[in-house]
Amino acid sequence: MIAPWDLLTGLLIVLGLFFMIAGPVGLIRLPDVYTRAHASGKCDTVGQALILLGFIIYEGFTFDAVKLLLLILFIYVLSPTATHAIVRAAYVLKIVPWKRGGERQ
Amino acid sequence: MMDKEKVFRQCITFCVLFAFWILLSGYLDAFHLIAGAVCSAIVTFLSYDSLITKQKKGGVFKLLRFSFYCGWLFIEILRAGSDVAYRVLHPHMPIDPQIITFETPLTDDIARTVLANSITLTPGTITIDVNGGTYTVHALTSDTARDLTDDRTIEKRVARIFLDAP
Amino acid sequence: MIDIFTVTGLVLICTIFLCLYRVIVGPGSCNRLIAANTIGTKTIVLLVIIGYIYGRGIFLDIAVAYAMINFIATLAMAKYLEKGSVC
Repeated sequence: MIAPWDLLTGLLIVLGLFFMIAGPVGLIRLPDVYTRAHASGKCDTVGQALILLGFIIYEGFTFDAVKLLLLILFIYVLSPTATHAIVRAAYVLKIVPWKRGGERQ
Repeated sequence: MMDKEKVFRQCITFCVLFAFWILLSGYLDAFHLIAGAVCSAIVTFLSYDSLITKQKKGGVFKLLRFSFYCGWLFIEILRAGSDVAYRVLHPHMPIDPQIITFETPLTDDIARTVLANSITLTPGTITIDVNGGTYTVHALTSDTARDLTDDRTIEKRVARIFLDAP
Repeated sequence: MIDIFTVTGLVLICTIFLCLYRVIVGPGSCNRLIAANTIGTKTIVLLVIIGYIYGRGIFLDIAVAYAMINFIATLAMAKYLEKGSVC
């Protein structure tokens, strides 16, 4: 018999892994820097949040759970900022955005 | 008056730093607590100015409204992730990327930062450049671009939090 | 439960190898930087998983520190690409 909390943890981890796999697939398939930033910035943020949420449920109410919550909040603030910095660098370097029907870079 | 505000700001900074110390150390014996208090006091003395800047009225309510906004943003981020995952895993990749610029009436610096980060986290858009009140945004499809320039849902919500309405 | 964590860690390592493709092949430094940042985020989760597999809480602290270092490194690299110098 599996405890319901463990089941919820497993479900959240599997859901997070799906997003974690979709991120790199997008990184490989999408055509240019800007669209790749979409894939890396969003799928990864969602994936890590779901997996760490699963660990919080597994842990219960302890110091470590609060630490994990802090980690989720950190990545929520830091990941968009890092993506923004990279995309801005690409924009300043005048990398031409891909249009529909164009050639992939 | 000025002095009182300064002491208040130092107190809040000290409390936040000390709470962070207890959280990361996890020990509650005398040695760790005293070491944490000394360290927090030193850091507070050096840098009380940077964590809590000059506040107008209603800071607590602002924080409360902001936490509700974070809840709404979490659902939005889930939608954004599934949207990108769907477009990436679709065999034909239904994307039509474009770059748009728009002006915002927001004036507060923190409000503008929150808006920029929210745009990056909502479905199909990332912020490229913020120059004064002009935002340059890369949108994955034309639908999401239209949402941003016509509906302005995010901007209205951010304006409601910071009472910085146009 | 430990088995699930182990499998999760292995899958994460596989996705890190997928990102590594973009780091090696990707045209231009911006593509490489985005892929490296993605690898950093995955490493944070991997550190937490390793901590739970071996039952050591200290790995959580390492993960928090790693998140900050990863962010600062990415920011510095982006700044360098943009301006040609870090300051």
